[in-house]
Amino acid sequence: MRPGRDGIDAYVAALGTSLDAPRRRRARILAEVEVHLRESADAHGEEEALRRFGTLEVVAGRFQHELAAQAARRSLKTAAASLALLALLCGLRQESPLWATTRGPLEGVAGPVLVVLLEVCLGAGLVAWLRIRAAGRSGMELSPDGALGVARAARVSVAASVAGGLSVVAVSAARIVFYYAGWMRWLDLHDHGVGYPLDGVDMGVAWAILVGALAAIALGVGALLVSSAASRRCQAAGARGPGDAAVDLVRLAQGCRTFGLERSEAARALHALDPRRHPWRSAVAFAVVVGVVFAVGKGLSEHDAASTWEAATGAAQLACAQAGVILVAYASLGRYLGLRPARG
Amino acid sequence: MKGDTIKGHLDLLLLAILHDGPLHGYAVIEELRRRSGDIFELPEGTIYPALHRLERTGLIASRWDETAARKRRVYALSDEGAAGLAERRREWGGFRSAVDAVIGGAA
Repeated sequence: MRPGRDGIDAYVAALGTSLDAPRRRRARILAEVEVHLRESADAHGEEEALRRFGTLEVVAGRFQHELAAQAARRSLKTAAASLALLALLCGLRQESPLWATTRGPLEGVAGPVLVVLLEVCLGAGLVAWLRIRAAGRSGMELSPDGALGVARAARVSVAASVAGGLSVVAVSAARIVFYYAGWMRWLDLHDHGVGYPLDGVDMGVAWAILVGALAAIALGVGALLVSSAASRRCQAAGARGPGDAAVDLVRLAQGCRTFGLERSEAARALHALDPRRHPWRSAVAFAVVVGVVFAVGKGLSEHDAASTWEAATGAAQLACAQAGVILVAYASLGRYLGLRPARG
Repeated sequence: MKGDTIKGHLDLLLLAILHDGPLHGYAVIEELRRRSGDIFELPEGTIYPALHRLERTGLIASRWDETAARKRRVYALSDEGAAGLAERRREWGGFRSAVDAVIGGAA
């Protein structure tokens, strides 16, 4: 064993656990750092080499700043590609091809894109707002150079949330209104050019499209969540380590102490389903819940139920299915997108 | 001089050092220290994020060099980086002149 191997190895290993980066990127960083430390140790000794290199907190923070910017760019590209894919899927699922209808292709694609974009804004805005609230209470700036103030970021996130919320309300209301008026069925899109991805009553191809569309929504939401969280994650890369979306959720859950949930069996069960520690378990559990809700809602809606109830359960199914797919995307793609801490 | 003081000028310093030829990270920091007469107390680890940022923006390029005893990542100035260095030097010259004018004559 070379002299000083343990100290440098420990430093490199600790740095590796502090970085949220794709596997290849992290491997390159660690390889460069290790070569540097070994060369420096040959000249100055291990202790001096580590001192000169900088504390783990400082070095990891600087790396995280750069990595966060890269993650934000990557996620924005993913979001753009997802929205384009979703628009394509929504267009393809029409009973007659887009180009064969009286409306123009732009109209057919723009509707789904706008609806989904606003929903994405809702998700990203809400999570960003939660993070901003937590950051504002602790008095920290939201960006490393302090260029993004708490108040400005809060206004942007609230605007995004309101826009997204309004779109969800509008879509839900439109479903009920259209159903009652008999102007068009919720799933009858081709006369209006405004559609929604969860449109699966005609089975077959529609189910395949449904899965693809939901995956695209999940990617888009996940990507924009990353954009909002990644730009701020370096702020959390201090004594508490890098933050991720789950940090926000845990903080939110801690607000439930006044209800005594922390000591309850339910709280222990939720801890066992912590998406950071058990992402697959939590995703499967959530998917099961979504499936039950979907089945119950579907069963109720097909048993001669009132149309209002059908519309309401449909909307609930839609929301739950989307949330479920988002969680699956979080579990499967979270590390790539930078939502989950890197594996140590 | 503490790292925070030179943080805003680090890109210029790194580009200027690489202008004289390709170097690996450890050699870059050694050269920075030598040229500054050991004035800059920059944590060595913080130059790598800066090098990666410069590489991402196309101002420098890098490759693994396996000819030495240790495999090293070598950085070299790109054509775009050379142009960027010239621009930054002009900006720095103007900034230095302005600061000198404000704070008075040099010692």
